[in-house]
Amino acid sequence: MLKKIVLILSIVIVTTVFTALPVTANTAANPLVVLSLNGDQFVNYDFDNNTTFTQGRVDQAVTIIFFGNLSTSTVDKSTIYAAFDSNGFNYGGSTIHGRVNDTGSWVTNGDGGRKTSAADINGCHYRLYAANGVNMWDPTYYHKYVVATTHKDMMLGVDYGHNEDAETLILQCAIGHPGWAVFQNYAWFGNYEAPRWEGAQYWDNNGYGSAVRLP
Amino acid sequence: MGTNRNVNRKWLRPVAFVASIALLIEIITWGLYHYEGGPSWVAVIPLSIYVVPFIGCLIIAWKKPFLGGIVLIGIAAILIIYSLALGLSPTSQPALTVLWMRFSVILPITFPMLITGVLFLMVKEAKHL
Repeated sequence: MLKKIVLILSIVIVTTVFTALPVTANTAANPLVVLSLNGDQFVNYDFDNNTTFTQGRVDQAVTIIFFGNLSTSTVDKSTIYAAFDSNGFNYGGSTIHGRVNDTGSWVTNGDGGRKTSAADINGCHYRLYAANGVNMWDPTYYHKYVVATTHKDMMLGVDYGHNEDAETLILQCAIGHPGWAVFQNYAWFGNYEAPRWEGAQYWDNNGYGSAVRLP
Repeated sequence: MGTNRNVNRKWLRPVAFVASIALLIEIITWGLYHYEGGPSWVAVIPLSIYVVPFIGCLIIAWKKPFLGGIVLIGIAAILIIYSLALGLSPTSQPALTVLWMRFSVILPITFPMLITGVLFLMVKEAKHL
């Protein structure tokens, strides 16, 4: 009798595990939006792959633009990564893909970003995207800039997302950098997510992107 | 009578051992697949932070089945409680949906862990028959 129970439980366990495994992508609540900055464009979410860019294959919402001015020599991914090192963003993450258009054609930029917790126990994580992997160029207003997604990583595989909290946390870090100007809820990014669970992902985003101007 | 039952349950120890190895493989696979972006080398370091102590727990279970069983059941219980507590975050979803979401995330790991823990407890019990 006991042997039969163990056998049945083993079958249940194996079935449960294999039905639960292939979960990597999230689904946006609303259709994807292409945002335009004086001719440049980017999609308001990043994606879990670099071939299928649909509402059901997103990872996180784009929430921040880092930009400079004409006198700013370097607003690029490495500069921003280096600046946030002092805030504890010292660990790399796995590669996710942003869709951007800087020169008239759409390209995909893969980025692992930086996060504050190697074990994803209670960490904050951002990723940066630019058409050439360095920065984008808008001669009109934003000049050199990159776009960012933000989320929290908590208890590996059990709880992540919380985009709005992560955005706020990163903006608080940005305020502490000399000369950086923070514009919270700067513009409508069209990626509003009412608080909801999607598996391990906790969506919560007000749909407004913020902007950070570097000196 | 007692000796007979003891002999009949000798298979429990190898079963518990195999179950614990299967659990370890499952945890590694589950962790890799649930890591953002899917399986990659980047996931190895964060995953090892969880897996290495867990291997320690399994070694305890192989040497001291009762203690190991208690530890495995304890870890599973903590994970279930933690995951369900997260479900208390504000949401517009019905409570049952949230409950199902949280269980669907955590059960593939905790259910086999509970079963393996119980198996180790039974190994201890069989020894004393």
